[in-house]
Amino acid sequence: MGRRIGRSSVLWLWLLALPAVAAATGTSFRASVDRQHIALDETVELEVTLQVEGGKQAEVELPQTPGFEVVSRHQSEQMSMQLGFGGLTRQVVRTYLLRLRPLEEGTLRILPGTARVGGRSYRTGTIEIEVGPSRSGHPGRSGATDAWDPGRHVRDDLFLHARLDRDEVWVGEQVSLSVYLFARVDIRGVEGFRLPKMDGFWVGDIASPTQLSPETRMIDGVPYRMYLVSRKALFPLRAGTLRVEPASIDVLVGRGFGSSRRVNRSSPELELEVRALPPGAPRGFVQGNVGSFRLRAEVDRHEVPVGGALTFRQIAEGTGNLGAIELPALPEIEGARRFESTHEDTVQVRQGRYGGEKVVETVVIPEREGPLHIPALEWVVFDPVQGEYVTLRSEPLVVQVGPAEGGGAVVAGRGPDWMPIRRAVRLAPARIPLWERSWFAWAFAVPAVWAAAALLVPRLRRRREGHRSVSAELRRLLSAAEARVGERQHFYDELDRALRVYLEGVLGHEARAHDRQALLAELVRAEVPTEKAEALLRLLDRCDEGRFSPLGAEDEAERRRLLDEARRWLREQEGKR
Amino acid sequence: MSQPATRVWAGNQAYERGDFRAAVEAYREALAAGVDSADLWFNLGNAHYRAGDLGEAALAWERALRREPGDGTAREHLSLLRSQQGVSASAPLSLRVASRIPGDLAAGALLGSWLIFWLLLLGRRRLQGWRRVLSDVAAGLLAALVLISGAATYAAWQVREAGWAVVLQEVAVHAQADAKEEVSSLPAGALVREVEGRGESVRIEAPGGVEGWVPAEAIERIERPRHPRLDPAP
Repeated sequence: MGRRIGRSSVLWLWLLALPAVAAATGTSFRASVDRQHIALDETVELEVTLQVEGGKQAEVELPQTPGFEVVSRHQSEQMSMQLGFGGLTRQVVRTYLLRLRPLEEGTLRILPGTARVGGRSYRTGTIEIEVGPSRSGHPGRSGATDAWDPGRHVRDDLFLHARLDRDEVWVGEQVSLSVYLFARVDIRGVEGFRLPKMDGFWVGDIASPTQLSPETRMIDGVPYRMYLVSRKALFPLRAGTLRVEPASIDVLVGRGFGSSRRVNRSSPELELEVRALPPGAPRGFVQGNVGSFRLRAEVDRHEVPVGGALTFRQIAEGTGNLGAIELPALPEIEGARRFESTHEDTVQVRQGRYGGEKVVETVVIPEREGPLHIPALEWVVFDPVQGEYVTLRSEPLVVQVGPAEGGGAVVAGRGPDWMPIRRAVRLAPARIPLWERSWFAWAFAVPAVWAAAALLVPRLRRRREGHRSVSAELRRLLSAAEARVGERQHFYDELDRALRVYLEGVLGHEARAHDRQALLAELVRAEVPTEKAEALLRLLDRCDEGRFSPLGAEDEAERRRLLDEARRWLREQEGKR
Repeated sequence: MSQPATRVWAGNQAYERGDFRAAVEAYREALAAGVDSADLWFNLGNAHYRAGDLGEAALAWERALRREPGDGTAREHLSLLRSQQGVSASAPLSLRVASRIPGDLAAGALLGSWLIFWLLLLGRRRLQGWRRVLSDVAAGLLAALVLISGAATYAAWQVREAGWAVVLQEVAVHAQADAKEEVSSLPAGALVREVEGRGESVRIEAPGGVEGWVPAEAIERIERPRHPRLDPAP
């Protein structure tokens, strides 16, 4: 029993002590290099690893590297959970990767680094590196670089680089812009790529890969995966210093779904010196005719009847901006007419140079029998390779024109591209000429109506104002008559005067007509309604009767009635107006 | 019927693949849908030409030119077609000049200058001194503009109303409407002027001096056509 108990006690003690042992051995701090012998133009990778268990805080001092330049530095951290005898424990592994470039030959030392974890210090060992002479033959820093010069990006694990294949070009000459993505991290995908606005350039596409394929490149001795993102042909349109603004890219980096992130990178701005074309261009040179071309001419048939059609083609083939070049126009040919020319560009990119074939077609219709001579055409271009203007010539051509066969059938059978239609047709509703619109003739009458209104309206206004003033005068005189209503003769004199003043105002002249019919007619002409005019005349008659007839009204009441009638008449007359 | 723009597109497609008859039909359908355009008439002319209908092609190009008098390509095509057809006589100078006058612009200028002229005249008595002199000068210039634009409008109206037509197919010209004897013939695409009509015949005058009677269906007026299918505008 005692022996059995003793054995189990030892086992239990060992089991209880195990976590403590693990904790004691769970922290480590190590440094290592990928190689210990390198050349001066090479780099060495220093890997420093700190492993900490139990979530303890750590302070790290990386190894000192006198005699080395730190080319790049990368840090990563990995965390894991472990179920052991002591329960669930957390382990963190932190890794530092430093790319070091030696600054001198000889034995260089990487000094120990220190880590403080949970009150204890951990040290790495000293590492010696043997640095030999440069293998490229160039000493030091310059020998460590290749043809790439990514500048400030070189210390990044991910950067976008743009480069022009030429520093200086002629106006209209091609320069190629290539945009590369350099990476030392895992790329899961490209989410967006934006080329800058290319002010001052005509831009043609050379390569736009849909899938990124890597190529390994050493930059300052550091291996990178290089991806071509885009390559464009740029044709400067003006002389001077032109700038290519930065391109930018959005890249998804990381290994897993949880750790991936989107990062944005931009390329540096570039400058290009563009030289103006030299002076002294030959006559006939058109700006834009820049490139290395060959010119030839051909006809689609060498025999054609009068009225038939033949196609004359000028073909320019070579490298250059096809969209900018302008081939010489076919001159007037004696004995033939020509249709509008059409052109077609077939773009080809060969060895990164933009170019292809430009074909200008002109349909020519001979108008008389006999040989039709199409002259040689001269075309002046500036060849940027030779750096001078060259004059290209096509061969003269002769076509035999036979007797007419009769009209349209000849042209009807030809290809669909020699009499081009207009694709952009501007449609509008069918229009009626302006002069056929119903309002057009009436619009000419507007000034006449206007003039008539300008003449009549003031006259009518004056007349209306005249009537008003006459009415006011009549009212005043009637009041004067009323004041003398007690005196028969004076009353009738005043009343008669009042009515005659009114008549004068309405008629515009003194009312002399004693003929009542004539007076009535005048009043009607003066726009006084007939019944009112008659009533006015009746008032005048009664007034005369009062003045002259011995039977005239003697009593005052009768005179007041007459006065009231005159006022009523006036009110009605005013109401009418 | 589908949209005019769709028919134009279909016409262009048919033309591109070399089906010129189908292109003609599509363009005609677009025109029948109530749209009008110099480009559309130009394309119709091309399609007719490629289909071998030279008279119809000339008619369409003439109509394109009526809408866009500065269309050099349509003029060139027309000239080539007539040259091909052996029509040497060109349109009279008065027609060549008048057909280049933009009628609406002339009529608009006439109406505008007329109204402003009267405005100045009516407002004249309210002005004094240099303003009155300036107004009188402007009125004088406007009176001149009224005369010039009036003449231009009249010329444009004449082009439309004078009965200019195109020969659709080669036709014999007779001395009388009912005569059998031919005095001349006119090729498809030739330009003529319709002077009078009698039954199924019309009396025409051609720029080269040819005059006589032809069947009415052998020609078509450029403006105010007899056949509704060709009617370019109300």
